[in-house]
Amino acid sequence: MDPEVSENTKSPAGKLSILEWALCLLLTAIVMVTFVQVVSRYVLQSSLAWTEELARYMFIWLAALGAAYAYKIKAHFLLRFVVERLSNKNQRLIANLVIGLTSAFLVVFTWQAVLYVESVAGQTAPGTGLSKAVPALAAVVGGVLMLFYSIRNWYREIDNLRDSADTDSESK
Amino acid sequence: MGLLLIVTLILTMLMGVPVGICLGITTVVGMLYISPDLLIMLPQKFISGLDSFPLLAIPLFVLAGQLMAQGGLAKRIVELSLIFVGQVRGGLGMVVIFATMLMSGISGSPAANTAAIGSIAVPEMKKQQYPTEFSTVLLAAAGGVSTLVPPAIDLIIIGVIANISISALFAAGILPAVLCGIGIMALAHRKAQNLELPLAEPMTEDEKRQTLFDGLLPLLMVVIILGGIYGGVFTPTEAAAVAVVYGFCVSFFIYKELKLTELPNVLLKSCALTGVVLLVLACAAMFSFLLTFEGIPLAMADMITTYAFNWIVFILFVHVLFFVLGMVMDCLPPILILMPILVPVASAMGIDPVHFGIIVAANVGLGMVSPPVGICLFVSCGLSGTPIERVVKPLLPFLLVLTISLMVITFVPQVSLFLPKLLGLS
Repeated sequence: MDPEVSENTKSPAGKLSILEWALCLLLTAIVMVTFVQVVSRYVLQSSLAWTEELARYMFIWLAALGAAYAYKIKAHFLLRFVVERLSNKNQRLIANLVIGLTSAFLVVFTWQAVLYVESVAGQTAPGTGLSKAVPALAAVVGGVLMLFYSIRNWYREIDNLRDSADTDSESK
Repeated sequence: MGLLLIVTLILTMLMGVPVGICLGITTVVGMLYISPDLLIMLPQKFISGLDSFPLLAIPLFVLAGQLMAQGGLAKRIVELSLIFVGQVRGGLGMVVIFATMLMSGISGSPAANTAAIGSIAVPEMKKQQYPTEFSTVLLAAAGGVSTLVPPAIDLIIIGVIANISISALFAAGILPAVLCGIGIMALAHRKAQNLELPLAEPMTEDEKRQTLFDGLLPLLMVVIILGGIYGGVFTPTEAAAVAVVYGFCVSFFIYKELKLTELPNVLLKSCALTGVVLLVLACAAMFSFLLTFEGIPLAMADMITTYAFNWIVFILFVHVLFFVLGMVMDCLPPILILMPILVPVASAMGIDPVHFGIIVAANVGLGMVSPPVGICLFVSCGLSGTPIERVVKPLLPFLLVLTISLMVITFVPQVSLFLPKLLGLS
């Protein structure tokens, strides 16, 4: 992982965004539900039917929101060694291309995810009795948030590149 | 079709699109080429790729590791290790290796382990006049071995993707990890003799007893995890949840080194890693669907069996493939895309899937230590503030030892398969 991640994730408690709150709560809930599953099996001698399914569904949400969060703090795996060697102007060109392709994919993905949610909305999951739309909705929300953060990152990057291009020309 | 996919994938990766999204874009291109009706499979495969209880172990084990690092458990593991190898020349170096591997017995993320042990051990090694390059290299090499120590994330992912028992993989990783560990420890000892490094201050009996006592609680965590899994008490995922609860209780109620205000950061670090790993995994599930739809894995398997006429050629081919890919990117995407194709071929050639999983995990571990993008190398260079160029030369003997171990693991299947057989897992 990017070593900078540890720096970027440092936000003082109490100043967490909604996304960060949601992630913390989901992970804590997953730990608790899985722990309850073990305890109920050994202490109460009865296996609960809903714990595993609920934990899995929360995990799907954790993964989708976590992917958006990783966009926010720029932690995703990507190759930079080619782009870094390019001139400032070409870097801007590539950044535009990247956001074009990324947002095209995310729009298609989110749109299909909406259709998918509609198609499974009538089915109920056996363990929890929840609608299958509950896990499927994670793809929609994750897609929208990733789109938002990728565009925000792009906007800032272009801004930075333009700034450094300006200072370059001034120094000449 | 195949060419179109490869070109799209490589171009988007070189442009610096996040790897998961590259796989997504390539899948969309392929689906549009075949029929737009397939697009609905995107979210379906995304969700079903994530909908797996064993995968939950990833954020949980990472969280357990973060809690240990923050809560003072990692520090006590380092101190405990000093009792065993402190009085040997280069002992502190061996401690780093030993502690990183012990720590890996709790947290599955090599990068996190390297960082957790390194932040304690690097200043300590500096105090004992270890050359910075040497301590950096030691730390990186130890991190590379930890892909084999249960509950490594790589083993969990290999198990989920290739449908191999995760418990069997965990058991199979132990002896190979010990083999690699002894190899690099011996090398560290020799190097320390050449450098004439000083011995650690001997501990008094009282200090020894105190350290041993302090180290019991972190050690008990390893016992709970491995004992629980192999005693049939719980699944790896449940073991991870228990480890989190245990780690929290020890660091919050007993050591009192974890503050509640630090908790969100600890949780978020684990969430970020989960997001990164699982975006790639979920997108690889979409991509794999497309490949399977087109019959590409079968065609590739046919091609491999035609050219790789026996299992030795095949395994060497696999090693070169993973090593080369590992040189330019993180190990995860190659595992996710290639394992579903390679495991059936390996089975057809008479290689045990569990053994094959360990071979790949060991190779990936080697990749994590190798320049230019090895993650453990990055983390340890970052911790000691050494540029990567300066550690390449001292790193070479370690890479050699790890490569020899890799070959032993590859060609002596018993090293991997002895424990799973003993435990009746394969």
